[in-house]
Amino acid sequence: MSDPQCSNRANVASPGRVFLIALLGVILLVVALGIAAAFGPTQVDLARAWNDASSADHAKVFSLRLPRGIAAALSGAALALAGLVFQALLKNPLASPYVLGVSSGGAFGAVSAISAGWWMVRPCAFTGAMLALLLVTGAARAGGGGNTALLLAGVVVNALFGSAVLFVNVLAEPRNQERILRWLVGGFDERYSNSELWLSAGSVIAVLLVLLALARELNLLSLGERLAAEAGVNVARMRVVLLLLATLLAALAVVLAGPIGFVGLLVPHGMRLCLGADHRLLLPAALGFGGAFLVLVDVCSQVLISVPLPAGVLTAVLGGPLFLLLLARGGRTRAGLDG
Amino acid sequence: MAEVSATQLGFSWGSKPLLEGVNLRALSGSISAVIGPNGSGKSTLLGLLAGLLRPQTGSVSIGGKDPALLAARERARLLAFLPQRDGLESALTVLQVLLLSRYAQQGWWPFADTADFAAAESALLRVDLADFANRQVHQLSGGERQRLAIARALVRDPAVLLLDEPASALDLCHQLSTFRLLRSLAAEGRTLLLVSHDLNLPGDFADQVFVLAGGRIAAAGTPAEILRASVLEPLYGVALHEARSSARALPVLMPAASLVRGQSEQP
Repeated sequence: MSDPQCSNRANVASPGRVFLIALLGVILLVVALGIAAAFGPTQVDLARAWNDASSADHAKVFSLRLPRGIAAALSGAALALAGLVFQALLKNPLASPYVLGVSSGGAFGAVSAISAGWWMVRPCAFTGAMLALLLVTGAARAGGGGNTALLLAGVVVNALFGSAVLFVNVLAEPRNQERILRWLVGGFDERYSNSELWLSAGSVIAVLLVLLALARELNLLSLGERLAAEAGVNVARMRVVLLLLATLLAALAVVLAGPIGFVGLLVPHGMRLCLGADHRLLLPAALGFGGAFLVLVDVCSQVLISVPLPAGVLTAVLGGPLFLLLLARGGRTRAGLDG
Repeated sequence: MAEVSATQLGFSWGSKPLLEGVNLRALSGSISAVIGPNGSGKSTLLGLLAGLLRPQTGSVSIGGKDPALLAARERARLLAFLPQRDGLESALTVLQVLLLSRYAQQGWWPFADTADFAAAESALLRVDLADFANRQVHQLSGGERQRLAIARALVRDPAVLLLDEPASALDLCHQLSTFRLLRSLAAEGRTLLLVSHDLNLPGDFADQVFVLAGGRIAAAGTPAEILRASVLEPLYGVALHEARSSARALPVLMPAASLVRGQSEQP
């Protein structure tokens, strides 16, 4: 007979399990990037791309498809991580990474830059996202703090920036309006510089490492602020730190891809169904699984029909039914929605 | 271990005073019960003693320290506060929650070590939840959650336990085992202060009883001095009947049939 103590302990997060899950996620991510390199609107010869650095196929794979795939992987990972943190922090399974107005703030920055004809669309999107965060935290503090004040402030700031985006769009020249629309749907193109990708990758990995170090605090906060405080967590400080980290991730995703929907809801819920509610396991999994999910969605968006779709359209079309499926499964097991 | 004391404690919500001039002292190795009618300030008193609320007048001391001024981790190591309802809903398992509750005892390494497992498994045995280690918390019944709340406190090995109705959701068997457990915790030198609506269980297990009424300590003493109809009737506004039993040193207190003071009895 097996020792019940050992079987109990086997279900608890350990460094070995965390490493195994992270490794699986990275393998999945590499496979997804391989698929992204191989498939696109046009055919490429992968052998030639690998062996002949001067070939057009090499340029297509290494200068266009892989940077785009890496941008999608980083966005997916950032959105999944941010979704996990927001849902735990707000104790709300429907909290998306954009709940605090980051997407509309980023959209306002990007749309303003496009409308003005500036080239710095991504820095402007990042500035807008941070501005939204400042407004939300300021308004929440004025409203007495706490999750309810934070959510209400997020709703208001989202609405304000949403109106501002519409206003700027109306004033924009017709040639810019199509660009604005594509940005607002969310998606990827091939114009990512190496420095942008390195900076984003470094930021996502650095934030993930900090989040992993704070995973116990995140677990305790997911049980409720009072319980976390009782166990010895400095709730006020930890909430601000986690909120800032999650918002930074959401802002990075918005900067790279625009406001892509559903990834921050779908991936965390799917992972909770598979792995349970311990964030020491969920966080490393989010990196690989969130990243791979968005890479594959982006590949599908390019090859499914003759006209390349923005990835944001496909996540919206797939997201609704998939989320309903997860809800139905979560309703049976309850594992997906609690904690 | 740590003595708990409150001196001239006062607390108000807005202009409404909830507690005024409360003095109490609970010694190490003892169980003190706080009883009193609804709205008398019992839960507020526990919140103040736990350092979750700051007193507007007076002071609280736990082992010579003001709990409201302690860092969160230090407070968690010193005392455990079990509220009446903790609203715990999670897909984490009972064992995972207990290991997380050891947060204040752990260092920077975010994984449980053998001492954490030993503390969690010992607590599970003490509250009779050993078979529930892998059960998700949201699958537990109300009584099992209440025992888990006690186990969450035990894994932290605190010197002081403040408990708000620790047995309210428990069946008779687990009420008794819980109070026996509390008695054994006191015997280990811990200070226990509990709020109870049950007037009889404190008689069997508490060393002293405080009666709160209208935000003030209306009576204090040993269970034999306090748990009497003549003391409690005016404070609760209910006629009480003392039932004597050879099996029990103190009489069992129960409301006299359907009588509220001032009402006439209908035939």
